[in-house]
Amino acid sequence: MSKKRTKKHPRGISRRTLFRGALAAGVTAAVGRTAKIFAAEPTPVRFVHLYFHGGWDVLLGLDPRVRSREYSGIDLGTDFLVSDFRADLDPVSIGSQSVQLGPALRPIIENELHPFMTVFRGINMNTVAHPTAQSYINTFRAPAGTSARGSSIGTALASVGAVESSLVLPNVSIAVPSYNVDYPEAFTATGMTSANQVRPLLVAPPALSDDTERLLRAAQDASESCIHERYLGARIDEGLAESRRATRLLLEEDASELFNLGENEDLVERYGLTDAVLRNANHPSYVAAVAAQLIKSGISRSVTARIQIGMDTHRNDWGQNQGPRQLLGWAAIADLVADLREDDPNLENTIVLVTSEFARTPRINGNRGRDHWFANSVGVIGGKMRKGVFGATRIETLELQEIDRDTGEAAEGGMILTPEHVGATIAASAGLDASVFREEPLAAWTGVEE
Amino acid sequence: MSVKTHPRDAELRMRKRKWLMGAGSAILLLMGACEGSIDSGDPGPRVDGPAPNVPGTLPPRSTDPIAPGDIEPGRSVRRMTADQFVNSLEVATGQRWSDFDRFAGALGRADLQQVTEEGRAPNVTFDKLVGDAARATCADAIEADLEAEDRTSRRIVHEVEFSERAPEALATNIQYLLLRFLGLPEVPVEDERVQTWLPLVTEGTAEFTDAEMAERWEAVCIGLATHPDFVTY
Repeated sequence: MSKKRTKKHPRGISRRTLFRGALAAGVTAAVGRTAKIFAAEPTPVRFVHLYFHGGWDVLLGLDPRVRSREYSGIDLGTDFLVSDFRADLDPVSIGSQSVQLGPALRPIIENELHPFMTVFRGINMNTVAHPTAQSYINTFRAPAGTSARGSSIGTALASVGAVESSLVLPNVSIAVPSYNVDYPEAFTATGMTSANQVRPLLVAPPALSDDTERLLRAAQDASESCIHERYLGARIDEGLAESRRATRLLLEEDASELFNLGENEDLVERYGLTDAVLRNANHPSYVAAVAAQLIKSGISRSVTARIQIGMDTHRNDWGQNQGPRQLLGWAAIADLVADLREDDPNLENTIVLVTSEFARTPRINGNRGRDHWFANSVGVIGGKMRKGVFGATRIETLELQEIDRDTGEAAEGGMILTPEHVGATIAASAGLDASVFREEPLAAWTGVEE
Repeated sequence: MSVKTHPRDAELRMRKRKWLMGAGSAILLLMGACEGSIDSGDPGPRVDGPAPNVPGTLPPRSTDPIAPGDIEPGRSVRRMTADQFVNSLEVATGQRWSDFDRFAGALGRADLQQVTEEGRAPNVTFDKLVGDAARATCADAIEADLEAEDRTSRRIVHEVEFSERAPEALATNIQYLLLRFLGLPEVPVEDERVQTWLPLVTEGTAEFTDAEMAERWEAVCIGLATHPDFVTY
């Protein structure tokens, strides 16, 4: 492989070195811009990102078709579906639009949460591979192969606004990877593999005698690192000291009982926490209850969680399971949103983002299932964004189509909607610098006056 | 009589000349490295933007445009990974934390499916779980020490008996623990690194039972297992 020749600048500095310098300056400027945003202290946003694992069928959810007619490129597969999913829901009003939502979103409509929705349809995921698409929908920035690029959307939203002293776990991620390359270390997610790992974090271990604990604390506070000052770079010992202070605060407040779900009658009733659900930390209702408690208690500002699994229905499990599993997930989401509305009735400072890594094919395959499809949809409930539907797929084929940037309606010569557009719009609506997405936010939809 | 040279001989001589020049250059470079002119090990001043390239030396380290802007050149302290921590704790205390598999993900261990990088953030989760692990293993270690047949087989209370109350003697075990946990050899008794932990085993312990004294040693163990110099490197 031949090496590329680097053309020399007249001053003897290579163009490649100049480029690297400009990029470094750009990085520094971006951090400076972000710091300026912090200086303005936008209002913190309560953010929940709920992810359906495996690729959902948007025809049953966010991008349905009318079952009374036929489509040249879409198999509705009505006969294969369980009975609850064979009938259309009545169109509902979202913003100024009359919107058809799929039967899996029945709980959202029944709880009258649809007026708070912004639905993005026809998002080009540009991949039908699980790991690539999962990374893409995590950060809303095109991945490098399967590796996520940039920070998770949950990390970005966690960084909005000043940090209150009670915010000891600003960013929590349950069963979903989280990344932080753009924001201060304090906003790196506390990762857990399961929702039932939150409570042990908040339970104080068995204590020694009072005098021993007092002396131990005094010794810990008095002892200093001997090695850190000899190395360059960030002082991790200072970060550890801050974490220790936050941990003590967390344990002193005895927040663990907030996550003793079975003992909380309100939660049991609100989320339908039966004994079977309480034994299953992956159940959507369990996950939703934990996420809601983290947000409502002020412990966390951003929670990302896998709300449902088993969406990858390639075989005849599509008819049996896709609809019911989506419904169960959306039901838990409806309960969570209704819960969060108690503190924020109009959801102006609450954003609930609902995603899956891609959609499923409009055609049913030879196994009575659906395969992977790149024309995805994303749902947002709450926040300042304009309410309604932005984007569309071709009515007959579920394919991508060009969209008018302002109206969100199909328009020849318009834009193709990408996750970057959606991420930038969500970020801008929350007062964040959206330049990291390298796409302009959909200005008419951010809900923010420029 | 003139000797005709074959054209291939000239080619071979040219190749040999080039090889010698290359080898000579390499030797010169190596000599420079031994003498430190290439890279003295000193990371050098941080340079932003374009840097002039001085022939015969590597350019000064400049800000890597790919990595986050706040990474300094040279070695920086890092937090242990989840596996490093639990293994180090086992070496130091002789006890394995039984809840590690349950909380390894929360400590940052990569599952190599969705998470491919080890987490090293010094966050609240890390502090809480390190504390839990330290308390669990130190409790087990002290219990093992109490049951040990002789002092030499103990991990924590190794230099003294549980009945010891004299501060000078107790300090020797503190020195031993500083070596065991933090790798600090021969720390003088009057050093603040010993004096910081000594009150835990001297304050109010004159009338203590061995069991009460064991709790104090357990606390010293916990304190050192959660020390920033133990969990970082």
